[in-house]
Amino acid sequence: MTPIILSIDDSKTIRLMLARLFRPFACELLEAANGEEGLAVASRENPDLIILDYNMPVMDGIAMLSKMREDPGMKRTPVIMLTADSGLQSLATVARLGVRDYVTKPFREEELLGKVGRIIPLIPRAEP
Amino acid sequence: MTPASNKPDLRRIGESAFTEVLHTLLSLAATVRESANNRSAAPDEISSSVLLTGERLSGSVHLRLPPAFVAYAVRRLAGLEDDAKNTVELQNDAAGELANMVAGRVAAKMAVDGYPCKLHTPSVSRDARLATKKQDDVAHGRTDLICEGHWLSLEIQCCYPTA
Repeated sequence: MTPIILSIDDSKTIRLMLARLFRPFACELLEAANGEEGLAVASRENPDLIILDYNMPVMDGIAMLSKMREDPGMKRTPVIMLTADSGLQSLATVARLGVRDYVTKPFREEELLGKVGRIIPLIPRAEP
Repeated sequence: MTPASNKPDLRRIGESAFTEVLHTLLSLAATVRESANNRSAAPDEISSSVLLTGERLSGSVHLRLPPAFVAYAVRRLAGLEDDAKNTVELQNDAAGELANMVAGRVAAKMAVDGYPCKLHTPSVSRDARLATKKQDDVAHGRTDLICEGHWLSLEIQCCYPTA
């Protein structure tokens, strides 16, 4: 079955960047622009992995993670946190909420692919 | 009050943060330009800013970027071949995200120097001039870079409240 990745970031640039990054792989990429939208998509689509921004308007990554962990259907969904803020306080907070990994922005594309590939299979799409 | 000698070197921090972001995100090298303090802003430059707040400082990180450079960054990051999709809205978003990433690197370096702080949401404007008014209680650090033929500017402003 094709794995589903949910990208949640208020920056359209980052969402387009991730779409380009995962296009060569056999996976479905869904998008949301904030935590509130992300929660709705996650509960409906049951993604195999969420790539979640830390700082967002409406509902930030921490608030969304807290709500996910209270929901039996989403409490075990793997999450990779994307954050420009690499302060120890932020990292301690996300660690307590059980994120699988985190990536500090800006990131090298291979770094993110490597971390995603440890959670879901990234298989190159078959040539048409 | 913290002795001046113990305060972060904003120019060094800014230069390092800005060049790291350009290199990591876009694989671009940049050259530092000296004595550019009097450079005037081009009318269509994009200004993006992020506020920093912490117990021992309040400040901001400002970027000034030419639209042509931001359009180039959008093409590289998003893989957009069609210039019609490289819209002003998307360029503003990218300029804000660049400021967010530079501010993140600045904040990490400030924390190492004993001044931890958190980032706020970026704000972006066009036709805005960088605030360069100097005040006695505000420290400034200015960096000008040439990257892919474009002149990019960063200014960090910090105020260190007394305990």
